[in-house]
Amino acid sequence: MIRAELTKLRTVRGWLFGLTAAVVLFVGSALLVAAGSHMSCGDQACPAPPVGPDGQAVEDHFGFAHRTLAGDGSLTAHVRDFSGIITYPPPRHDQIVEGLVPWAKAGLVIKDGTRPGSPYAAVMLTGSHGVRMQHDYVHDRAGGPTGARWLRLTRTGASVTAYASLDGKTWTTVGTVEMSGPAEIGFLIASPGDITVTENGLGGTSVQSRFTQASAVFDQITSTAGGEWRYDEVGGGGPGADWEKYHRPAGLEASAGRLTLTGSGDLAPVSGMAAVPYLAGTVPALLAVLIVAVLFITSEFRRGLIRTTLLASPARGHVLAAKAAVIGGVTFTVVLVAVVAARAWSTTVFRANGNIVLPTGALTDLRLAVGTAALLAVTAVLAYGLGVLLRRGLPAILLAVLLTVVPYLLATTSLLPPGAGEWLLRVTPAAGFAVQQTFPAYGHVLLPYTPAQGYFPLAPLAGLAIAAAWALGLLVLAVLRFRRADV
Amino acid sequence: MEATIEVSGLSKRYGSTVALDRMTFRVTPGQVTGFVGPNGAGKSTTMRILVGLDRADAGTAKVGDRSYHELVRPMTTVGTLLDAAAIHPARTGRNHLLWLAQSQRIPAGRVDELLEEVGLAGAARRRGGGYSLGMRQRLGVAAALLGDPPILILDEPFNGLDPAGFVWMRDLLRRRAEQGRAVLVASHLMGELQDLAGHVVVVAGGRVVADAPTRDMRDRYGSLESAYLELVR
Amino acid sequence: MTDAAAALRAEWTKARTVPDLPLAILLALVGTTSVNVLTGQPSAGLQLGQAVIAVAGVQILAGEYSTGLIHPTMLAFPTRWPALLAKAVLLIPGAAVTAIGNRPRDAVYLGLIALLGLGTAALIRNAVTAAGVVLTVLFVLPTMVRWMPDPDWATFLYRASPSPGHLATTAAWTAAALLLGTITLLTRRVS
Ligand SMILES: Nc1ncnc2c1ncn2[C@@H]1O[C@H](COP(=O)(O)OP(=O)(O)OP(=O)(O)O)[C@@H](O)[C@H]1O
Ligand SMILES: [Mg+2]
Repeated sequence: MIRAELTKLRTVRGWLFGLTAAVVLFVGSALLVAAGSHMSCGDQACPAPPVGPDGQAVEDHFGFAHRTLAGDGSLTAHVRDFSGIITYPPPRHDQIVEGLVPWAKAGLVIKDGTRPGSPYAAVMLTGSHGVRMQHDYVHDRAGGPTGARWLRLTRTGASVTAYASLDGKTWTTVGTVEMSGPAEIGFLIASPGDITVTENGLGGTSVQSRFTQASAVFDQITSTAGGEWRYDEVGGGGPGADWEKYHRPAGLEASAGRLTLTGSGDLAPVSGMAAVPYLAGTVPALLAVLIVAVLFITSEFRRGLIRTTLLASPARGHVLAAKAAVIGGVTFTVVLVAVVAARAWSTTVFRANGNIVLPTGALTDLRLAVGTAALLAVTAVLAYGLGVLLRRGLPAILLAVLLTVVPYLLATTSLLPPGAGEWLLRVTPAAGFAVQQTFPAYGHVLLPYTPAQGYFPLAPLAGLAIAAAWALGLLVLAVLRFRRADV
Repeated sequence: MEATIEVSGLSKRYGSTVALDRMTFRVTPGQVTGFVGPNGAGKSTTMRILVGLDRADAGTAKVGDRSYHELVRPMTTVGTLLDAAAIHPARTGRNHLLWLAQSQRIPAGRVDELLEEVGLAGAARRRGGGYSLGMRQRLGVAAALLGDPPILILDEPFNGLDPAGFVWMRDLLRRRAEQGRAVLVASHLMGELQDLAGHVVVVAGGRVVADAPTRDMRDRYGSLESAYLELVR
Repeated sequence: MTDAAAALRAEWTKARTVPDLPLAILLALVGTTSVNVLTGQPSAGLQLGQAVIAVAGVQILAGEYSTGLIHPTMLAFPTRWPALLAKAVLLIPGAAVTAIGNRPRDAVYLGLIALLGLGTAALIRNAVTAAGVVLTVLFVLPTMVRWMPDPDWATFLYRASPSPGHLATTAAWTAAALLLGTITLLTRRVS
């Protein structure tokens, strides 16, 4: 029966054309977007961001006052003062104000040298998230008593333990992580850019980051590592902001048991950079797939072909299931091919235009490819189910688009308030687009994790499951109704 | 205007299929003209071109000395039945005829008259989707007769009719011909045409292979059926 | 002109004797209004309304190709344009009604969208495909803006998409569809 349905699908020129169009649209859109992406940094190639221990691109930029730590050891200090400035914050964007951004960091760090991207473990005071222990850019945990100003970092063997204290006498453990080998131990200062989201006048949003700077005074320092406090601006070397040039440069001041560290930057996964845009053609291809899926069934109703089909195989439930399997399976295969082609091709173009290709990880790549194919297959089955249920092509295609593309559009543009948009992406079949989220959302990186920026309210598989549930539900409903319908 | 149909040098291809190959014949008023030929011979294509649904590659097709698309209120000149009436499944038969009547500025009273004549008065207010083949055929005939046209072009008019319907259709065609109208009937029913048609055009492969009075055919071959079988062999 | 008047009358009878168009208009009206009320954002409801109206524009012509009704229509109007004109004239007020709670320009916009559907149907004929193409123009182009890396391209694409904010662009789309559709309808064979 599946063979028969496959033959039907294969032998109608319009449907083959539709599936081909889906592939062409998918690959073509990816190429178009890749071709339009240019990046240039003067006459040289743009520097790629460092890659962290877990394989993702990271930002590793902070002020570092350090000594060499040979084996075991520990560093304790009191954060006497932690303050900073934010340039031109909203709403008026007209002055530089004093203050710390939520994830400004001042604290103690053990790091495998000063090479950007190298492993580290740190305990820190933050602008508004209390004491945290963070390591290797993506890992973050809160801990210690509220209002703690005392920090301690200890290495014993291969484990680094962070403590915090209110008075420097009773200590609370914040966390322990593994880290061995020779390392530098010392103080860190970092202050990520202040983020604002504005409507970009094109129905979408854009994200701006403005310079901030933090400054911390450490005193009552106890260190088992000896020698001078050497200063490095890890990952620095840029031209420097105007503020740094004219008001307060980044750097270290040491005086009578006190260290004052001033700087900007962050230790975090890279944010605000796009991956290769090879999924750009998803929605155009989806439309082509929806058309084919709807026609696949409604044309049978219209031409009375369904009677022939049912004469050949009277088990109606099986017929419908076979057709669903064919439309889903064919869509999956075709789209998978399209994704692979789009990825290979557009990556080449993207790179040739001087863009940085961010590492995404093999598992993520696999999820994106298979997930996108599954998303389109599931949506095709959904459209097909609507076709069986409604029997007429126009209402079916209309409803399919209203259930999938329109919620996605509303949620990813500024047409709806963000809350409403995210709600749409939880309950409608458009939830399936969650499978296309490339980078995870990190709690310790302040970004607008909105659909417009490619972040979805549901986890990838959960979103896909919602879409699949819709498709399955409609299909079951369609089968139940069709089993007792006159044809 | 003279009620004639004139097809001359009509050629038509669909891709590589030759549907019509210099088809030429003339239908005169006052008699039924049978239009016969094997499946795929080009009968329906000729008829579609005659009423402007298809465009010919070459040649002319005239109804009453004019192209169909030059006619004002065309359905008052030519009545056409192609396949059984296409009707919107949700529209009633009466409403279907009503919009057609309005399109030709024919009074609505004519609609009920015709429904009576084609035997659909009882079903006139039912949805077209529920019509049987014969009922749709009758509705199509009603549409063709709506404008009381002097020229009738009917493709397989007996399709789907019941035995009483056959009699009715036969009478209907004969009567219209006697009134001096031109009636072109494509059909595969040689028995029917033998009694009904005064003239027969036999086509095969898109060309006319015989164009003669029925009487001549019968005299020469014994029956219209034998004539047909002999001619298109 | 009498042809056009007769066509309008016939098309009016056609439109009111099956539920398709009245239902679509009702659906668009209810959908638009309720989304507007729910979100408090008039532009959101319009997204729903325009989809329904666009499909209604497709349906009024392409639906005839699906049912075969195009044959009697063409037999009644062998010059073909009166039928197209009559459908267009019927669609405009039907579409405009949908925007009753919105700004007046939204009514104009929906009228243009209905005609965009009509023109596309004349061009493509297959109802589902025509509807898919119109919906693509309405919804897919705007989703692509987000992907466009170059601000100039993004701006171009944004401006090139039909939207209630860009009546001139929308009118250009509609004009193009109607022009191509009319040429196709007048020159190509039916069926
Ligand atoms: N729309 C079309 N597309 C492609 N080929 C067509 C089309 N319409 C007709 N043909 C071809 O043109 C030829 C003539 O067809 P036509 O329908 O005129 O035959 P016919 O004489 O009416 O046959 P029948 O007795 O079966 O009704 C056939 O070969 C047919 O396949
Ligand atoms: Mg035929």
